[in-house]
Amino acid sequence: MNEHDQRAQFREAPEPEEGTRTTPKIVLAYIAILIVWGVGYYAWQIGKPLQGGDSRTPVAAEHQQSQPANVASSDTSQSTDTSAEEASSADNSSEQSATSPENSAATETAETEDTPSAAASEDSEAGSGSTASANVDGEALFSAHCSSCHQATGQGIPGAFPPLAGSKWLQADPNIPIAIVHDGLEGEIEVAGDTFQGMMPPLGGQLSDAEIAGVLSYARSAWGNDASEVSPDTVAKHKERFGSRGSWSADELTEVFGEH
Amino acid sequence: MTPTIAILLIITFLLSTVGLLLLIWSIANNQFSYGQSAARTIFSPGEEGHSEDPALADKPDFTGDTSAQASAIKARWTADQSSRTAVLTWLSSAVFWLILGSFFGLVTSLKMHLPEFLVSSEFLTFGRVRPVHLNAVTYGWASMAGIGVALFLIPRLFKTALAGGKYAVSGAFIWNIGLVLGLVAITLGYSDGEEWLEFPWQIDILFVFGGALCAIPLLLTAANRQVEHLYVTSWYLMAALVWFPILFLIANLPFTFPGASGATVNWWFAHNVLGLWVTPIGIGIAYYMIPKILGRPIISYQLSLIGFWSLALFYSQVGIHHLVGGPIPTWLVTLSIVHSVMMSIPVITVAINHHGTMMGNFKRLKDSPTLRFVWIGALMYTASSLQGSMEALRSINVITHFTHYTVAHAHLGMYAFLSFILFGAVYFIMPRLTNWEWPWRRLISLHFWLVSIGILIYFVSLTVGGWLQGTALLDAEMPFMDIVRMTLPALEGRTIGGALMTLGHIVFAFHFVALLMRRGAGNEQPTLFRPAVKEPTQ
Ligand code: HEC
Ligand code: HEM
Ligand code: HEM
Repeated sequence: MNEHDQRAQFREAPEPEEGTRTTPKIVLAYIAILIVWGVGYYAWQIGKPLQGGDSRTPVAAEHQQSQPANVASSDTSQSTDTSAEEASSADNSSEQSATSPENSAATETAETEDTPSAAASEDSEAGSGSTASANVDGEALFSAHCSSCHQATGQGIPGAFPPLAGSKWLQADPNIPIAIVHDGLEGEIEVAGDTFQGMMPPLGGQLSDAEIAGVLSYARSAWGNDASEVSPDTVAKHKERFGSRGSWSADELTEVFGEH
Repeated sequence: MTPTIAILLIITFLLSTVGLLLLIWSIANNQFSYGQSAARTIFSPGEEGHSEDPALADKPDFTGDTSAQASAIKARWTADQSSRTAVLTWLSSAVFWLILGSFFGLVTSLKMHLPEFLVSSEFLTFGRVRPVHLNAVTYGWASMAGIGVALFLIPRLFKTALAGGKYAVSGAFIWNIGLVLGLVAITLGYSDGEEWLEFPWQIDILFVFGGALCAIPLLLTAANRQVEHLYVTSWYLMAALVWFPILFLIANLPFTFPGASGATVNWWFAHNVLGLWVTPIGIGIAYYMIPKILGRPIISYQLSLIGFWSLALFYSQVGIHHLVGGPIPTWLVTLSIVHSVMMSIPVITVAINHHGTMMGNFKRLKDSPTLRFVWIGALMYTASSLQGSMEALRSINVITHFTHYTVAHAHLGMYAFLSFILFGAVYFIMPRLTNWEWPWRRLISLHFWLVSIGILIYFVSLTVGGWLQGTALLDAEMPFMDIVRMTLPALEGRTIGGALMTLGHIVFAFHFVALLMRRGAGNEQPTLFRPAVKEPTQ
């Protein structure tokens, strides 16, 4: 232990210590002001709801009311170029989905409003049926509605979302993928040798017939997939046949549509 | 909230605050004369004003001639030698986790604006890399570096050798094993699913063990202490070392807190990691380094007292400000907001103490790397905390919650405050443990400028982007996707800033390893930002 070894210890300043300055008056005044403020803030909360949260609640309520119209208008401007009639039908279908179907109070109102225009929507879609797939952009729809789970590459995420590239069901009889996208899919499935145990949400409430047909036509021909286009009429027929039902399971799909 | 609840809260608030002030007043008055004379004894005669500043070289040298001076150096030397292995183990592990955590941070950041980046494997999805980043930097870098610095400072402050340094070394090994297992578990998808508590609770046991193996030597050292008066740094460090294990244990108890109470405990814990663990470590280090480098005392013992005790009182209840607007009883949220604002008391008193000591010495920032990092860190402590007090108010939180603004605040605190102070401390400590100076002056400059510019870009872009995002989210007319698109420039800016920070960390780690391997010229002089004004004639 020589001076060289200790040079860093040697050259440094002494261990620190505290000085004796007193607390500035302004700090004491600040503490006093804060104490008064604190008492006032507690008192100000009297009468607020016991689980009030912040002022977010009224904002959220407002949001709920104005959102559907909003979403619908951006949806339609993106996907269709046609009549106001069609715009109003899309409007309704998205309103239905925005007020979650499980919520019985909400569906009651949605139903009463819905009945006349549901017919209208079928009309208009049947009318534009054969040409609609030309109007929708399957790739854009895919990136908006499917890629968050199945990824833009169609590869899915191992262990969580099955790949669509090379998927047998996607490329089988169009009724199968229509059923999956329209009504959802739940339970264990096997895709390309891996098993998945997930839940795909039903998208029938968010997508029109033409859009379902368009996105499936895109997916059935992208990433090396090679299957026929899907026509909106097939989607309409699926709806007629099954109405609104819950999610499919693998067994139900094979039972109804046969082995693929 | 009913009047009864409000009145109870007000009474509790007044009693605790006034009680606190009385406590501080009595400590200050009883101990004051004593505190001063005790302080004089630790300030060895002739040492005052002596420092590492090359510009001060013509002042009478501190020669270590008198016996008091010689024994002060001897005490320092003994303390440093006793903690050497333990400190080096904790600090080197911390530097490793900093690098790993930075890369995960960068990947997380890239994924926010390139959602297709690295999605082909489930191990690298956002939901897993983000918690890996968070846990690697919090429990790997910040905590391990903090413990390392505490192991270095406590023997010095108590003027005694570290008792049981071997235990602290094995503590580091166990802690590292815990980190490896925990991060692997998160990557494989086995996470407890609560932010800041992602490590599966079975693995948390390792941290409790590793931490205890460190805390026990420190408590024994404290019991052996050779000084009567405890300097303010030791209050903060010892308090943090006692608080953290208790918090960590309670929050990780499995099956105890379901549902909304689980969320409450989760955030009570998460904020206490910040407030009662990393913050006291950061402030404590700054309280040591600033007067140490300047060679002048911290200006006010009274302010130190107010700062410490009001932190202890107010910080422990602020956690629920992370859940403002959530399904939590109004009284609890209100309590946390009031305490968040009261937190400005310790913040301001600590700020006066730190920056008041700096007054008149700002030119020293030009040469001392330690001082520059630590002082900027101390300044950012003031800034991030005052920002936090604002963010806790309902009217501001309604805008900033669920936005990138929070993330900017998080990095202002964890990075610009805490990490900067830790960098400064590492620059101070390493030459004293290895008897080797930092090899290259320019690498320290490079590190400093990369991380400073990096965090500046990071903070500014996310603060602006986050605020705009927050106001847009309240506008019901605005389609959600438009808001997402609007934040893209801010997220890209963050990636640029983060990349600079990561580069800075690589420079830092390289330099750290080079110093351990004794590269460079082997100077006798400290490595400062500028070459010493006068080279001493050998
Ligand atoms: C919320 C995530 C999510 C979204 C969005 C989503 N899917 Fe799925 N999808 C899944 C999951 C999960 C499964 C597997 C379900 C299971 O395991 O039972 C699945 C299964 C499928 C399958 C069956 C694959 C096979 O080979 O068995 C097809 C086809 C499919 N999805 C198509 C689509 C299309 C087309 C869209 C967009 C319109 C879409 N999905 C949107 C999650 C999603
Ligand atoms: C008086 C002091 C402080 C107050 C009142 C405060 C307040 C807040 C508030 C209200 C939030 C939540 C924002 C939200 O979710 O809406 C927050 C988040 C955060 N703060 Fe602070 N803050 C303070 C100091 C600090 C310091 C010193 C640090 C760092 C050491 C820090 C680190 C963080 C982090 C990391 C988060 C994000 C937590 C997460 O969401 O994971 N804060 N702070
Ligand atoms: C090296 C550059 C760094 C980059 C690029 C980076 C990037 C990120 C990103 C992208 C997130 C996720 C934010 C989100 O979910 O929206 C994050 C979170 C976080 N990071 Fe970093 N980070 C870096 C360094 C650090 C360091 C050194 C620390 C601490 C010492 C730190 C502490 C945190 C914390 C506490 C969070 C959680 C914040 C929250 O939930 O609000 N980061 N970081």
